[in-house]
Amino acid sequence: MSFLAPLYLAGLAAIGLPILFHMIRRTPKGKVPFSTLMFLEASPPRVTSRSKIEHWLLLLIRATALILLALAFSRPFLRQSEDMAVDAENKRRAILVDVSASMRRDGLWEQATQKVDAILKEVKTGDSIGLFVFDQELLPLLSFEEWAGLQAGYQSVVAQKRLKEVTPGWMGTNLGAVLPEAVTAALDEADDEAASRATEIVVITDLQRGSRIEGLQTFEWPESVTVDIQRVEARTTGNASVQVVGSVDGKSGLRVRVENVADSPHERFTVEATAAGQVVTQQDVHVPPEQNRVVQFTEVSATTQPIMVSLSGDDDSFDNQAWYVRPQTARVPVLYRGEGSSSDPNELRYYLERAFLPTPARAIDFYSESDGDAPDETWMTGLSVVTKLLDSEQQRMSSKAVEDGWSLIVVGNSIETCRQAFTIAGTDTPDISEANVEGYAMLSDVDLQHPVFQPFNDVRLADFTKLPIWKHRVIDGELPKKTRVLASLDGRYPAIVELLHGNGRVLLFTFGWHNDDSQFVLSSKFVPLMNSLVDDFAGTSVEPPRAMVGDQFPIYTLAGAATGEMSVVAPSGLEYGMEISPTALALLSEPGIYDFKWTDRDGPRTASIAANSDPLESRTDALGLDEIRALGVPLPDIVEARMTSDEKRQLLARELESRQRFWQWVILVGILLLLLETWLAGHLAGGGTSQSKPDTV
Amino acid sequence: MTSSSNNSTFGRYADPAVLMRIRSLELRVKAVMEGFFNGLHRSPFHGFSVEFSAYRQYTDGDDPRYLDWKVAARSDRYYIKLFEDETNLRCNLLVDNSRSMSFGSLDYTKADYAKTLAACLAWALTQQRDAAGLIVFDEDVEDIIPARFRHGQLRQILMALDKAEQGASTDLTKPLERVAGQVRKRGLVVLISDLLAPVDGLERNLGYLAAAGHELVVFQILDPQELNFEFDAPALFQDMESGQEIYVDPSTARKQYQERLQKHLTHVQMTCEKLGAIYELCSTDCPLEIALSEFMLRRQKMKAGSARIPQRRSPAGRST
Repeated sequence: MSFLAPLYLAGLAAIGLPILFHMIRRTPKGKVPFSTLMFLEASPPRVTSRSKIEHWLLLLIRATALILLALAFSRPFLRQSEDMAVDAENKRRAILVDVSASMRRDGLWEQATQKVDAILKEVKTGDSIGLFVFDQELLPLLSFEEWAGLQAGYQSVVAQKRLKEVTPGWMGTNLGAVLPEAVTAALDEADDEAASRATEIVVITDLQRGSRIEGLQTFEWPESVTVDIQRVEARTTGNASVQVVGSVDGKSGLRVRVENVADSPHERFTVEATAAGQVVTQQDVHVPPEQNRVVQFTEVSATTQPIMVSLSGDDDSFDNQAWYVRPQTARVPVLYRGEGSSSDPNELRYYLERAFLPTPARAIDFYSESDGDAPDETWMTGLSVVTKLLDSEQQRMSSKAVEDGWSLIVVGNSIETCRQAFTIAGTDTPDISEANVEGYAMLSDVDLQHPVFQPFNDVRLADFTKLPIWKHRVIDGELPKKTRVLASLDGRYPAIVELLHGNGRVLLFTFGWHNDDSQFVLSSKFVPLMNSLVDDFAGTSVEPPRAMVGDQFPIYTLAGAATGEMSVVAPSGLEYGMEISPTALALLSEPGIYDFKWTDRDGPRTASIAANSDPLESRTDALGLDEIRALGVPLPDIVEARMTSDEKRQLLARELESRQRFWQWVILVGILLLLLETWLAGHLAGGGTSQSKPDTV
Repeated sequence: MTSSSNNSTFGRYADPAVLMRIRSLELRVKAVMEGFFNGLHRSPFHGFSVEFSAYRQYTDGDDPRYLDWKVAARSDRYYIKLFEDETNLRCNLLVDNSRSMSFGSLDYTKADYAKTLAACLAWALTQQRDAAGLIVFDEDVEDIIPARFRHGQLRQILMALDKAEQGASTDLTKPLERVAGQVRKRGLVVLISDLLAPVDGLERNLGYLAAAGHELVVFQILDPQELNFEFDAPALFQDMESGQEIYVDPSTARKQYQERLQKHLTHVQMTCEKLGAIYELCSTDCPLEIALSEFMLRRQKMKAGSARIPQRRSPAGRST
């Protein structure tokens, strides 16, 4: 038994008080007013020098209550478990080292490796360590499991060796995603025994403002986890960055934003634009700290070459370049599977081939199955227009292609053609019959909210009544699941049905597009609808986002339906080859111009992509630990970190005492004893009168 | 002694504890006096008023209206018929309102009892068409209502008694001197007080009044605790008039107190007898009717020339 405030034990001396009170004389209580004192004489006071204690039980209760009060105030606790807590210092630590672009600043990485070395030096036998690096993602260098598997002396050596192989990259930081991931990794790998121990996440970072910490707001921290943020301090504070804003157009040219950090000592910078190794233009710009300015380079509006914008005048150079390449046109293959030549205006193909208009965002590569140069639809995402009846093998192949993401338009000019749409979509085929049309039918109930019909979502354009349909097919009964009717005929029969299958979809028209069935190809709706279908399927209806370092770039958007190998040249000059496939992604790991080379049916092709660094990474002014703490991150108290071992022991004792809370029970028993004392005293005094309550034991 | 035991002892009469709960003095008086008359059917002052006294031979200058013509016709001598004074009895009630009167071990104080007693007498006098006056005093005279019989006199007396605020210490000298000086006509002087003051002054001052031909009645009002001193715990006893405090252990002081009190009471009684005054000792737990009837019986006897030694009226077993 130990005491947190042993001085209060001096209060034990108070048990002498009841005995002392007993020994001193009884003084009269209160005054009695009386009409006259003329017949009274003062009585000699009675001194009660009684050496005999009359009520032993009462004295005992009072003394015990006083002892309990003194004990409660001295805050007793059991030290045994505290010693255990002090000894159980086998640590479980996940060391997270920041390798984001901002760590490229002068001296930061050296500091970070030194800090890791210092931690590894303190490691004791039995400690469990995991070493991770992070930028946008968490990457393990040495997992807890590996650490446990290594021989005791070599663990730190291996960890240091692996860290030496790493240098800061160009990516942005995402602490909000990385810290929860590290907690999960640390707790997942822990066995039951280890999981019960406290886990410490040591984060070695520059903690710059652009670390995306907002993600920590909603994370529920487990109780056993604490986070120790060890900050590396940059030697310089003045960082400015440059970013390209928007696209080059004929009027304003290239717009560039120059941003200065809050703690920057610099305000004047120079920005220059370079194309093909030649400086095109240069401008001086004044940007006060924590502000930004947009600079326009009209001189580069005519340049088709990739442009590099450089900034000078600040301390840190890692984010002083930005690149711009005119957007590449995506190539979308459209495959026509039907009869007819491209020169006969009586054939559907004639109109279809001419319906797709090129836009800056995409170009259409039109293929016809009958020409024999059609790409294999089993590997590529594109759009097919089917007007003929496919054989069962072709239907199986198409079904597989749709499942992988291919889009298929089935023009149902016969009952069989309509049925095959359901077969390809892998659903039950409903009853389909030929409609008995009197006069002509009209499209109605068009789902204008559907992306395909978005261009018609205007009262001036939504009039489909001038499209007469003389013949169509009728789908009887209920439509299968994953089916959506986009338009109907006279409000009764489905006219356009969307069937979802895997990653792709089948769009069934229950009427033919040409001559015998309708005048769809001649109507004003045909061309917008075809282009809308292509944009929707190819995803080119919206401008593609700018490529940023860390992005994974789908190369088919460049290569279209081409096959073979694509050569990628990274900004650092590293060249590597990639097989062109719908799933092939090129990782943009450094800022600059990525060059792509491949060959399609038109011969060798090249394209360039500009990968720019994360603009948030340029916000290098440091976050305060309070801001991190405000998000609920369990940081150890800084004061605690600076405490001596004695102070720590005292703190532990305080924590232990506050956990055990014996004093509450002692106080409770004391109060009960006092109540008992009151009752007993009242009971013993019961023999007396109400005017005279005994005040001694 | 409790009020319930009073009830059993004085079953016919109103329990003083209950009586004192009636806040209005007028109602309280009615409650006593109506019961009193119902039981007694006798006016306390019956026979005091206009009465034939004697014959005297007519001399010149006498008012011929008072000639007794019947006697003149019978005896052929002229006689004047003499009567008692035409005025009714004049009674002055002297009520002690000093601080010591505010002591009371029961639910009411001696002052309450004294005021009720005074009010009862005033009511009875008024009923008899006698003149009643009031003097309230402590160490000085606080309020004087001259004795007269007129409409509203009783109400005035009752109001004066009601509003009388607690005074200071007791000093009989000044009030009695003042009565002696102001009340010229002979009459009845009723002194209601606890008389807890040295007796020497009392004898001298009452002597003035007796010498002036007044008929004297002394009601000494005492609380049962004052008579018996039945405190049990030692305490600081504080004099209500002087504020002086002394430590008293009742168990040792009781005997001496009772002896001294008895001596004082005897002295007061002796003084009254010497001056021909009617002395009545009232304990506040004794019904008012008892005190009143006892007083009237004694007065009648006294008028008949047979004064006897007064007995203290108090609950059973308390006689001194």
